[in-house]
Amino acid sequence: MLKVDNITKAYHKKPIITNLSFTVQPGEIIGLVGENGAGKSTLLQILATLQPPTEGNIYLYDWSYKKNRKQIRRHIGFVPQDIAIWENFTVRENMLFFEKLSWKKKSEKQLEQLCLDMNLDRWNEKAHTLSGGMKRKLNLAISLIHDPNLLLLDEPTVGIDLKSKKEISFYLQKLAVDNQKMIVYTSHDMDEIKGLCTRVLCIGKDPFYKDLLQQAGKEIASF
Amino acid sequence: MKAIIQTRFLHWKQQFPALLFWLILPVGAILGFNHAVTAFQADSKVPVGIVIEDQSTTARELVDKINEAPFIRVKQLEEEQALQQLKKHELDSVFIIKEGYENQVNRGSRNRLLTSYQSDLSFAYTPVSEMIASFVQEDTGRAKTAYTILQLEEQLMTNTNWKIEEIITTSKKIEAEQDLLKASFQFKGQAKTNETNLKLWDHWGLWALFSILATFFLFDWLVKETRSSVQTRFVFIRFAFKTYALLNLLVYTILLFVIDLAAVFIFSYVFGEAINLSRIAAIISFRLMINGFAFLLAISMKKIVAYYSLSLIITLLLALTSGAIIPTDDLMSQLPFLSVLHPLVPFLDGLFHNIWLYMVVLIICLWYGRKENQYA
Repeated sequence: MLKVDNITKAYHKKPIITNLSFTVQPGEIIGLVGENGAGKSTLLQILATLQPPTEGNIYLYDWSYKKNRKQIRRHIGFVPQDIAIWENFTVRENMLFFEKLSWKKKSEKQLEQLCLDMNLDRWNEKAHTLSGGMKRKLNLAISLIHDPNLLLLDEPTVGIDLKSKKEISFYLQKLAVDNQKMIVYTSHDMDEIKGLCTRVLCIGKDPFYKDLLQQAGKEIASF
Repeated sequence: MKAIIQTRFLHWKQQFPALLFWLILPVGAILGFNHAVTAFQADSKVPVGIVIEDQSTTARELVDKINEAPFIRVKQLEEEQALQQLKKHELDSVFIIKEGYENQVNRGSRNRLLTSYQSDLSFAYTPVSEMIASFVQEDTGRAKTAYTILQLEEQLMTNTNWKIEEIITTSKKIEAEQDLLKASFQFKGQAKTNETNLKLWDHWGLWALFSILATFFLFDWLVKETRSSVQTRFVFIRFAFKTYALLNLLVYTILLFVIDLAAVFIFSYVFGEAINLSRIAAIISFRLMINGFAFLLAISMKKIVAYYSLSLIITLLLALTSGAIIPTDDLMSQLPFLSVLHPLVPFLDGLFHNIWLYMVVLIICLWYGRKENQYA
């Protein structure tokens, strides 16, 4: 379980996130929504241990983010908004590269299967020749090589076609349900959020997202 | 480490032609340059045909002396062949060492020892013939001296029993020992020599400059990978980026040192240079220093174009100030601190100790130990 305990984040004394608390249970997909600059990516970076909260603490299982950062990182899969792949490598080479440096060893067959599970079937094609949707899938697949328990996705489907979006959403749902992963997900696509997430966190003061989600009957927490 | 090598191989696979080019550039450039200089020197020499009818030692020594002349390219031919090539203007002139040359020289005869030919297009006949005549005069003069000494021996009734060959050999020995007309000239880092056969370029100096350039270009991966979006992933893998970069530095250093050792053996074969430990120690020091420097430069640069530009400027500055290409004796005497501070001078002097090496190692240690700005 991920437990966020009353965290605050401020830049130059200006608060971005104030007194935020929530938990994520295994098998849950939590959506983070809010207007631009509301602090979604900052929160995701805090959850990914890339930034410390100004106040409060976070726990993954019983590990404190303050004390067990390196250990926690082994259990986090972070999918950055910018596609973080080697463009001049093939899909296979990208997967092998990160597998070699990963905490967990996987065979080439397992890596290929991971890609195939999300319909990424261009194993020997160079990454720069892939469509936007395929690149996003590869971006996600690389983050899953070490079987993380907590998956943090920063707008993983931005700018891709509907079919790829659906495939990624379907895969994430399967991952949460079948493998009991905890997933935290940011997106501006409300249809995607409504369809995919079990709970939604509305960040920021704008009531727009809250109203939309209330209409869809989603469980909402506002901050 | 195995993982680092495997992942580096994945990168090298993508850039194999470029990698190969930069790896072989230093040695390739020197061999190419050496070949070009040798070919140019051969082309710019006057082609002279020599026909040897007398197979004596004195005749062979004369041919050797002519061969040693720096502006002459000697072709040993049969008379008919030589004259034919002269007619075709493939030779500037032809000199025939006549049968009985040694006997005539030993008798002190100075006339009709050689026969020479020139064509209407011969431009260097006069200086070449005068040079050969001077060699012959040396021999005849030496023979005459020997006869004079033997005559004196007879007149003075001494019982030394000198032989003419002994006197000639002693005369040559004294000439070689007391040759005062030879000048001393050398590149930075080379011991003073009395050899008149001057080297026009220092292959290790030039190799060092090409190595610096190649190393800078080989380390461009660091600029690319430091600024890559992939950086974020290093937080969630086994190696922090700093460790990953440092281990890759080690991989590159081993690879480049192997290439450097190959250069030592190739130069030993091509230039007949002895392989010694001080040269290898200087190469180790140079390699560590330049790799560390390229590493620090690459890690601090944000744009690849700026990195390439700075690399070229640094290489050019080192080339101009090191004394490896152009003599810098005046500059060094005016700015003596330059010889102490210049990063290439210890290598050219064949030394291991280099202040830049220690500085680079210290800065890398500080960089590695410094706390990350990022929470990562």
